[in-house]
Amino acid sequence: MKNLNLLKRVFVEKKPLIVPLMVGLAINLIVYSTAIYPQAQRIATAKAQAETATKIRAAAVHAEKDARVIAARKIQINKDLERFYAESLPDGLAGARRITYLRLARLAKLAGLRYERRTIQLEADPKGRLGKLNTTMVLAGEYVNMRRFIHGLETAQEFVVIEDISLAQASGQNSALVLTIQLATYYRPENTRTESNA
Amino acid sequence: MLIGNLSTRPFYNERLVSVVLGVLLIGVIIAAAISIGHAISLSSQYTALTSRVRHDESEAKTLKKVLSAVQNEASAEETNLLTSATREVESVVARRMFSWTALFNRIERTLPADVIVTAIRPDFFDDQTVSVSLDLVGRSVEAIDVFVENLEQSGGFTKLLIRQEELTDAGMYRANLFGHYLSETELSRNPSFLGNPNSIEAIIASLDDLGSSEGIR
Repeated sequence: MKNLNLLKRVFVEKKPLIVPLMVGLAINLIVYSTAIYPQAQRIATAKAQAETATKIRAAAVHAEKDARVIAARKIQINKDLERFYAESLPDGLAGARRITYLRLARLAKLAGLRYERRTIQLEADPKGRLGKLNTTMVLAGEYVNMRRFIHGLETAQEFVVIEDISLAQASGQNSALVLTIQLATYYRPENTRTESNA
Repeated sequence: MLIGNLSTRPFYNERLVSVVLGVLLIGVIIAAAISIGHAISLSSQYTALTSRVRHDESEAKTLKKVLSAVQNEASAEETNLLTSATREVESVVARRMFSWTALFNRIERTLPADVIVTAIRPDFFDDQTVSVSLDLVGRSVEAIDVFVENLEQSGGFTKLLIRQEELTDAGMYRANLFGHYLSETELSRNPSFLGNPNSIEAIIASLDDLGSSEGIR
């Protein structure tokens, strides 16, 4: 009872200090409960969202970079293919005929081979973009001349591929060999070229 | 000597109470100031974070749009066409690069006098391995065997096998020899300008994975 009276007396006498102290405590409590705590909660959520967003953005940046690489690579491959078609392959069927028909006969003659017969066929169902013109030549002559003819084909600028070679002894002649050689040349068909350019 | 306290207002240490209350008040004022400062700082942090989230999300959306545009461009069908065209060119170039002269030279170096080669046919596999089928006519099985051994020892052929053999009316042996030819021309190397279309397929596959995920909204 005595102590309670003393406390009351202290409170009354020190009111100018105690009231601001209480107000200060109340302000602290209000600030914490209405501003700091809820804001801290919101910040924790926002931080998680920010982390997710950063990861998504990083993935998107990476994907976009890859996509640009692909686009560039595709353009480059297309360019390279077009350059190959334009620079290395004959221009259409007419071009393929031009680099085979007369040229092969001349090359055989230059190599010293006798040109016996030839069949020329278009590949009925080409599997890819390219057309294919097959030529089968039957030539007779010395082995050395056949080697010369083959070497001439290999070292020529024109895109002619040797696909198959058969050799046989000509009947009735001792030294002459018969060379059956299958050749192919590839070309870009007209319709494919138009589609690609479009 | 007086022992009892006879005053109507008992003593207490007024100075000590004032000091304690004063210190507490200063402490509370400082705490309030810090709390208000902290609240302001948290508020600005929150604003910065939400702004960052909005920025990242918006940028991700923009990038996703670019990505889907590129994916539309790089459709699977178009990529397949490009890949098959590249493979076709590789195959055709490999055939053109194949050196028949080198093959003939190797055969000539290893061919015994009593064996003749009547047909040669190379085959180009997808992995750029060249197999060669040779039709032979020999006076004896031994002569053909010598040729096969010579070819193998020359280092130019592997996995050689006589797949078929028959005795002709003329008393000669006709055989078909098949094996892998280790071409002196580097057929295993892609023509440099074509690169590797597989890498493009892989990247496009990875983009498809990303596009289908919920990662980018």
